Amino acid sequence: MSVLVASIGFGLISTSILAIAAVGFTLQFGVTNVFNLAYGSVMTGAAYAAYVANQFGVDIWVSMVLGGLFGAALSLLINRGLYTPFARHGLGLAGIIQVTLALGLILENGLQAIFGPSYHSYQMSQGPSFHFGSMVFTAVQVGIMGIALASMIGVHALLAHTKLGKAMRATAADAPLARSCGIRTEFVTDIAWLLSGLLCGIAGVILVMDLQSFTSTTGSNFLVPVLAAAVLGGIGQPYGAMLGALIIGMVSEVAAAVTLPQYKEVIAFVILLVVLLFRPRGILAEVASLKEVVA
Amino acid sequence: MPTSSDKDGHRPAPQLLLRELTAGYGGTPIIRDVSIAVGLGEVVAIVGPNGAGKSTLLKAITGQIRSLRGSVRLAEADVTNMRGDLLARHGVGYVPQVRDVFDTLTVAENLEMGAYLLAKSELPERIHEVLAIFPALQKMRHRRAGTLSGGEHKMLAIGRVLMLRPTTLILDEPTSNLSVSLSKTVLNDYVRRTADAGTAILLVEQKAVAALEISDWAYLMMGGAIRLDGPAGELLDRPDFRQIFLGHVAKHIPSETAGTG
Ligand SMILES: Nc1ncnc2c1ncn2[C@@H]1O[C@H](COP(=O)(O)OP(=O)(O)O)[C@@H](O)[C@H]1O
Ligand SMILES: [Mg+2]
Repeated sequence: MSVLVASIGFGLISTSILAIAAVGFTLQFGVTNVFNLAYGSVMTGAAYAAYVANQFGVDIWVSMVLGGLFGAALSLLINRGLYTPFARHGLGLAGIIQVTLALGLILENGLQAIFGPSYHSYQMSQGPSFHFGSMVFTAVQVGIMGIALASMIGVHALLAHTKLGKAMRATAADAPLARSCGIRTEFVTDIAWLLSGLLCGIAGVILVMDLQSFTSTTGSNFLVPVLAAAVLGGIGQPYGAMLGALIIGMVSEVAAAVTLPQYKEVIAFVILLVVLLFRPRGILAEVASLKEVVA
Repeated sequence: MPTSSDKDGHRPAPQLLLRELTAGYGGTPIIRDVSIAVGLGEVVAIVGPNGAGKSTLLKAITGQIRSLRGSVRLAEADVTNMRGDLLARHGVGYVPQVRDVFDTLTVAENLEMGAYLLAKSELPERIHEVLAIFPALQKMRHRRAGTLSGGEHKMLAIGRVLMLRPTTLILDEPTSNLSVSLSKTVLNDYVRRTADAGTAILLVEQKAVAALEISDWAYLMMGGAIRLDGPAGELLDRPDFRQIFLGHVAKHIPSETAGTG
């Protein structure tokens, strides 16, 4: 019984990290149509950026912010310098995916060349423990959940209530139509890459803060659950990604607790395959299409 | 300000002027040497069969495909191959034939995006004004646009484009998928009245008779080229028009004429 309760606690942490990563991933695809398989490597890059700051004595939470900013800048650069030029030369969706895959490998190998193949850790303390009923969280874990909650509320507020957020959704829905309304879609796309890159970077750093050690493949190993959460929620839909993160995070931790911990990624992968087979537009798609039928 | 061409065919100074515009997809021209003028207060119709190149022409004007030759002018400004967002800043509104609303946004958000270039303080009043033109949209303000019916959808598309108070309005078959009576409402109440308020309107229509009834001037487009043009009221009676166009779509015209009374 206590194993189950503990796994729900782990599930909440997994959900928090996944939610930030999956919302970033789904925003990238939704607004810019790039299925960015380099996402995991950018997470790792941000984790190393935070590591470098941390090595210079910068506090881990400040390092996390720096890692987030690094992820934002790197993502914008990647899109401007690589994906957009390829798309402009007429490379289609599938071709771009191959470019993102190649870039992911290049980044990963680059990081390994710089930092070596060994594992690294941040200089940080897990802080005092907090008891919620029979669940116990460290201060770092509480911080991670708080950041996830704040990020989700922030993303929601932006998309639902600001002019820029609505312009982002309009660009995602139909870029030429958005342009005809006077929206500078290139600018909106840049903002989308900055924002999703920020989420990607923060997710990379807090993933490592939770795992406590990492190497150049840590981010890309985390990509499967991120994809599973994003696809489960209906790719391109931020609220779906939040829900997908909750399901993947909870199910994989609880299932791993009752079977074996190393099955976590396998379980996420199986959920991903099942969703692709039976609900390729995500679990929320049914709701949306139902509304269309009723109207 | 000169408005609307009079009965003798004197036309106002052009607000939108195309000169020998040639464009296509990927270097192959679909439309060739198209020259068209639209003045403030005019409805100018382009009619022609399916596949004539009408939508392609509008895509070239609105900067979605690159023109290979020729020019597009707005009043005094050269806007050839200008990006869509800059054209909106020049007062150009555009309703595409398909994909004319943001499906995943609500009705209110669609109208807001239509007013993207207006100051925030102007928004509530402008939404109020446009909803007064389309009262049916009022109670659907919070519905996703993707859930609207065909008629509601088109009303929203037109409402959205009116939000910006365009000086030049480009409409691609605004009555496709609409019933005969709703088509008449759209053309008479929305299109004609918007022109009468001073807007220059370029109207592409397949429903030729209904379109010509509310237009000042009309062009017949076939095979990517303008075949003839003239005052809209006279075109239907001209033997060359009847021979080229009505002969071509003879099956469709009688039913459409019957429908419009
Ligand atoms: N995206 C496209 N790529 C290539 N050819 C196209 C495209 N869209 C339309 N065409 C071709 O251009 C021609 C004119 O089409 P269109 O402008 O849509 O005609 P209309 O609007 O008068 O019915 C057609 O032969 C059509 O097949
Ligand atoms: Mg067309």
